Amino acid sequence: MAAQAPPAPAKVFREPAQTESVQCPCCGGPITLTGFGGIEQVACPYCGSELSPEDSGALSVMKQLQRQQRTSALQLHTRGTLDGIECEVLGIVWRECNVDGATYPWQEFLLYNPYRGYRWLVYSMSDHHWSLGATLLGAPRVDGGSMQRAVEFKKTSYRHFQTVNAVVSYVEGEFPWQLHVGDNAIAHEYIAPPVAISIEESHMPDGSADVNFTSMCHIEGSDVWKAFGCEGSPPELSGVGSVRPNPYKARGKFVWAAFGALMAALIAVSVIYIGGRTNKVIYDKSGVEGIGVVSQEITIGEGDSDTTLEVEFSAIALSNQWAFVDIMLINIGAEEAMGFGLTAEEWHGNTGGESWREGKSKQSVTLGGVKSGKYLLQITPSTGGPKTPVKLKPGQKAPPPLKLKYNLRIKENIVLSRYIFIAFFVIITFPLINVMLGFFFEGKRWRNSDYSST
Amino acid sequence: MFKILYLAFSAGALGLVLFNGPSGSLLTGSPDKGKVSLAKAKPATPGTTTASGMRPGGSSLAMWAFVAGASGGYQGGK
Repeated sequence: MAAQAPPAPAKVFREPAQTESVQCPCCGGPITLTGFGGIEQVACPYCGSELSPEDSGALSVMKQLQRQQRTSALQLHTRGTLDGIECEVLGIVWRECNVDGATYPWQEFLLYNPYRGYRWLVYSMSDHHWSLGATLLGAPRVDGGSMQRAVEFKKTSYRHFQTVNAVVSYVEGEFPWQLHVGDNAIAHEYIAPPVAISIEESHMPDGSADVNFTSMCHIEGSDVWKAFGCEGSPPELSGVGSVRPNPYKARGKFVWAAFGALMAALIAVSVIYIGGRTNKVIYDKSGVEGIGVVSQEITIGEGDSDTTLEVEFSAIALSNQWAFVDIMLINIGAEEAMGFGLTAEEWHGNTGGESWREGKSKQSVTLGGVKSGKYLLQITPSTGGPKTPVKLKPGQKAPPPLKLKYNLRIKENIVLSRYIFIAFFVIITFPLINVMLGFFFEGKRWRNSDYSST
Repeated sequence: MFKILYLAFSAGALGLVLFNGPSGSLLTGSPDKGKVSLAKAKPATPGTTTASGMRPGGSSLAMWAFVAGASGGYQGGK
């Protein structure tokens, strides 16, 4: 007896899902259904009629409409991979709000992946910024502590940016909920760039309210173009989007880290620099009297290196008098001379019943790049009184002849703090510029908010 | 670019402190300079400054520094 053949194996898996192509009962346009069983409403892309999918696969007319098809940034049923998830544009909604008489439209693309569910890609038509949204897994906590409205979600605080009345102006494609042109919702946007939370309140005819929480994040237009294989390049951005990351804030981390390192380096360099300076006094004469020429040989520096000099001149007990020293430093070896003058003066008097006093009794000069070697120091002092001689009253004695008594000190290898200040200025300037640019960037962002001062 | 400029300028400023600070040749005033020649004492001629000094050898020499009017003299006064 021959053995019976084993029974055919039962089908383990169901048939793979197939997209269906049906005709719009209103305009006859071909409609591809890819949303499978979760679709509540289909808006014909050609005529805009609102259709309801039947169990039989046919579409019943909910509301017949005749409108022109609009060209959206992405076409219906375009497929792309965003964040590693392949998805398809299942539905397109155009919404708009009116602020101060100006209409701001945007496009929302319902992205669908059978395994990962729905996401929203939002394109602002006014400034060409993109953001990607998904259902918020939870509800944010309202933060009532701050002056500005804010919500908190997962330890991140989101500041209120704007509240608008969003009105649906155009619909096409499949949606897992009922959606009609003219539907409106109060949309509250709370931001913590590059992310945001959108809270939308829709009021139903029966008086109930539907609240939706959506998490949004910034996405570059170029990434959208790349993900969906669009031709050309995305439209140029204008202004600052509400969730666009602040590039200066991102750069600030590097800049401030570099600032810390550079300041540490500046401190180390300054210690080395200051430690290497001797501030050696190579000439110091105090109380020199008269206007006779003084010459003296001095040695400046050591070896072949150049050095710095600080020459300080001060005159003693000047009274309505100027004092001047013409100083010449003559490098004996190189037969080179350099000359400079230093002045001290003191003036006082009484004008209109008010006494006044002015002038400085000392002056100093700093010289750099002075070659080391033996120098002949020549000091030629001079002094004088007012340009206009004081008229003597009858019986008044003529003032005694002017005398000069002065001090002169020369130091070499001195600390020039200007070098350290300039280095500090350079090191601090870049972070400050970055902070200012970041501040201006945020200012431009918030100019579009409910808190704009303009 | 900003980061590169920041690091480059800062490194330059630090280098300035370390390498140019000791000589101070870049951030200081530069007085008038000129060549001088050693000569026997002569009567002064207009436009010259005479420096008399003792050379290390002990002989008295006059130096004719052709940096006349280097400091410009005193121009102030009431």
